[in-house]
Amino acid sequence: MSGLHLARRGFLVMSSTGLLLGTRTLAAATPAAPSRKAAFTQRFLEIAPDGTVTVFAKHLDMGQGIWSGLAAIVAEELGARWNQVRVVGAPARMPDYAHTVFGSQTTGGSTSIANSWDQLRAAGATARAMLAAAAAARWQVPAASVSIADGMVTSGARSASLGRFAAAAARLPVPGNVPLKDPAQFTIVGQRRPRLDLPDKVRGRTGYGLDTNWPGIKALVVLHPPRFGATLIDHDPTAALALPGVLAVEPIPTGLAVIGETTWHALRGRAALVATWDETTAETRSTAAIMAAFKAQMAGEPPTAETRSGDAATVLEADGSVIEAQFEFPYLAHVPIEPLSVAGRLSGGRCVLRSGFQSQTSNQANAARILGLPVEAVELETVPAGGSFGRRADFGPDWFDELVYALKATDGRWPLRLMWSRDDDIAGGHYRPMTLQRLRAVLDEDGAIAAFDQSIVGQPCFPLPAGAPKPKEPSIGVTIGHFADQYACQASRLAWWYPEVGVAPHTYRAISNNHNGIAKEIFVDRLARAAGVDPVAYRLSLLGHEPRQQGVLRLVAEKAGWDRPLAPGLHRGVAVHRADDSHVAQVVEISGTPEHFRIERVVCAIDCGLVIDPDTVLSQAEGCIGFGLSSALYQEITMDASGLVEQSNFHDYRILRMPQMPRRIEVHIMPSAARPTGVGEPPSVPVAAALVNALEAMGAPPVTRFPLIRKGVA
Amino acid sequence: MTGSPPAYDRASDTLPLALRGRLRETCGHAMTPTPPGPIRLLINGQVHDLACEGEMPLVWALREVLGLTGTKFGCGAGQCGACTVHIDGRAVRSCSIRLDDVHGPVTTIEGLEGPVAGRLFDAWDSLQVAQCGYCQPGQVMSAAALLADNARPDDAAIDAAMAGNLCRCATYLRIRAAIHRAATA
Amino acid sequence: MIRAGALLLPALLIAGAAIATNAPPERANDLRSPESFATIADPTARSRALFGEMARVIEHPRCLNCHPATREPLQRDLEPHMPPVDMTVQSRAMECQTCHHDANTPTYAGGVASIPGAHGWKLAPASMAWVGKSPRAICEALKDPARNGKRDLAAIHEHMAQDHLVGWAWHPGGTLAPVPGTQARFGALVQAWIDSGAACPLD
Repeated sequence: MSGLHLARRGFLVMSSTGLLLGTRTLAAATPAAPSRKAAFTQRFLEIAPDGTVTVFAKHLDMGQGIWSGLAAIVAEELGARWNQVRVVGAPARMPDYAHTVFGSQTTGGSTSIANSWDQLRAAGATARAMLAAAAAARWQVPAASVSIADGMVTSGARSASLGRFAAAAARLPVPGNVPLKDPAQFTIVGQRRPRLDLPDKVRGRTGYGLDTNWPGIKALVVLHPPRFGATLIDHDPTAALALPGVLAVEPIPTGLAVIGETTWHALRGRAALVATWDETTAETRSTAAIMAAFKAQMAGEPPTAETRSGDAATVLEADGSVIEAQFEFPYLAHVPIEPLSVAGRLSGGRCVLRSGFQSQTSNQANAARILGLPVEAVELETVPAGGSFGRRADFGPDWFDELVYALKATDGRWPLRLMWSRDDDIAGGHYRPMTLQRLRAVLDEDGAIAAFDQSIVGQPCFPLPAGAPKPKEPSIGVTIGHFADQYACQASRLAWWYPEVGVAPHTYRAISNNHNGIAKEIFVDRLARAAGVDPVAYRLSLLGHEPRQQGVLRLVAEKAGWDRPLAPGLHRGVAVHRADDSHVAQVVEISGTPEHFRIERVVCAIDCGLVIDPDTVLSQAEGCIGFGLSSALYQEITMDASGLVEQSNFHDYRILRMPQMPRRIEVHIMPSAARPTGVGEPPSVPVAAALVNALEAMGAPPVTRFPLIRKGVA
Repeated sequence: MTGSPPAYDRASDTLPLALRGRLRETCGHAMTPTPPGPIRLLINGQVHDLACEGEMPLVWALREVLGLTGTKFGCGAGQCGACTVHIDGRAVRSCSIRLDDVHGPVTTIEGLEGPVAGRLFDAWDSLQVAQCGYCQPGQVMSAAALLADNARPDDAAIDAAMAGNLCRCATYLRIRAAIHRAATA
Repeated sequence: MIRAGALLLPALLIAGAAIATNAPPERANDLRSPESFATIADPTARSRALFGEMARVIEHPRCLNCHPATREPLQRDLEPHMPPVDMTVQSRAMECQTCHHDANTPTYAGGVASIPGAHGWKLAPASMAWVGKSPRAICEALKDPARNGKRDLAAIHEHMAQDHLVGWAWHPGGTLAPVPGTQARFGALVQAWIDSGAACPLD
């Protein structure tokens, strides 16, 4: 199942590259970015004579801690000392740094550890074997007598820093099939250890993409059309160019590039631009009108694609006791706090780009195509990103392409740093798609699901290429995590309608789990009520084929004291979900009234297989809970009757702030020796449903749409 | 923390003798019309004469003229707190103040020092607060301003003081815990 | 705490928004002169009418936003202030001057074109909470030295006619609507109200 869904998703994401790789051996690898001081350089690591180990991370760290996670795997097998390890972003280079499932250099789907696990263990173990061989030769002892741990190479009474043998090891042939450590012997993997990137981040020393200050660099902002799909007809840059510090105004495919001495000068110049737009192909409907069209489509058109198991329709039509729910989920913007940004310079037929790249292969290929350069002439420096939540994945044309077009339009006259202002970001499309859901079920006399039907209208979060035929089967970009995929149904149908909408969709944390998981978990609670069964027991009864979901449910119930009555004034709800092959259950406890409530506690249980760093799991789960609550409580992108986006900044597109956080979050990790799976997305899913279930237990009317809190309240 | 910054009065242009030097920075273009004179700012103990427009928000001068990129830009509208600096020891969103309105010594994350700052950094490190980290310099600046006023803040005081600092990764509970730890260390 | 007043329902407005806040559009920039009230012969009736005209300024969001019912300021059209500010737990990490300085700051951040600013930006004292109050209740609070900062009528006139923070309301910057008229015209109305007996309107 896991390999299949990863592969299918990878295909959808990266269909342009098509290359599917297994784990390559080190022998075929070429050095990454050898530094002058390195004595030993391979694809995923280099070792300096002083023992410093530099790990080349093929994935983007956008907050999920993956740079430290990847380094821990290498360090474990190598026997490095943690405080001698550092991490840098690997260059963009295929096939060396390809995602082993997706087939291109990219980060997503909470798969970074899962797809790197074998590869990096082999990389570390191979280097260890070579260092041991070099030490054995030097010390004239059997290689088997040499051990490496905590940065030290040891044989009998002899001992030295592993850096001492780096140069000698580099001259040895690269062995194949080096034995890996027994996980029972792990000393780094599985332990809480300081993340390598955090001290610099907190002290303001980390250079994010937006912090790029190359000599002579100028700032770039882009004037976009007010409505999605409009194109530039004409513009008058006179007033903008008359302002001091405004250097150039250049048309590019997505709007007008404005170059200034600083971002402020560019923004001021942009505000002075006069432009006219052709809106004949623009999306001019309101989100309300689009949702109405979704409802008409579901009611009146055959689905674009459907899957069936058994004959649910007959049961649903024959039975008078159908339980039904409908949910509307809004467009969501990702709003990473580091605005979308990329720096670039172009000279001598080479282009250097610097940003928190999430789709290096795609970005590199697009830059090369736009500039008419060979791919090898485009160099990407991947630095940490100030959040992404899916937004930095490339489904172009997007912010990244704008910088490249501006470099081209100005012939590389200046190094440029593009920034999308917050209103560009919030009103700029590339949203978690808006969806309409209808779930229907008939229960048998035991409360089991005799027939189930789920109807979904919405764009897939992986945009279809222009002109591509509609998919013939339900796209996982809109249906993953659907009800019948997780709960036992005797007969079921999943129907999907693809709507024509002029708003660019985009992947968003946990992709379509982030609406399907919520709809599923609210609905199953209502089924439990209809069946007169406790919500935890009811779920357990439908998850006999999902022992790991059952496991986290039992764990969360135990830790939350589900079998004991709550203190007076408290209400609670539960939810469970599988996403990215990880399993998460959460219990939310609230006090107050539906009109004025407080989230007192969230208890979370997660099974993500073998854990690389338990504190990173805790941290991601805590953050995911806050992230899921932000969307559930506050967030929605709306368009007015003329198609203009109504939100522009954090005053009207709200992120949960500290006072609204749950007072306590408790995260419990299910011990597991299964292969490691993701933690960056799955815990963001159940919390919204658990909150709604708690609110409904408190007496709130049934929820039919998100967000829960609309305009006009603090 | 800034400790007790040297007295500095831009209006009378008097400079304390202890200042280490003066840097001249330009916004990179011939100013038209020529401003009345460079804008003199005291930042992290160093005097800078900026040939920039007086209506430019401080954040851009820090980040793109002076290269002090530890102060982050997030929203440009006083909504997120990523650009928080201290002016005269008080938290200020540097996106929301014009250079002309800066009337006291500026401390950025790069210049934040002293025992309280040390305890804050230690707490942030040991509790592994950050995720993407982008908002965290601003969080630390707000926390330092809070502790300067209130050495032992309770949850309510912390929540109120930190309500202007967004964290999209939602590290809030660890931020709150780190402030408590720094306050009691 | 999560305030969900409108939980699950389309936009309910917060309590204070029930007050009529905006002048009719055609008069948005027009404040009647004191002279135009001369036709009202009875001084008390004239005084009440003058206060009614003053209330178009006093009850404007530019003024009410900083005279909220709680110690939490409002913004724009009596909307909750974002970021949330609770002046009962003020510290130098979060105070008015964290964002509001000596002048409006143009941001070029769409949707928030300008951060309002004037020297000494502050919330009115709790005794001067006006949001949710009737014009009569506001008028009575305005005249009450126990609640108005120990001001006599002359001092109230000075505050209304001269104070630069009050004056900001005519020059709010960005996309914010100014209060009607001019501060000078408003000052003249206040003086005429005082001269006619400073009567408060009937509810």
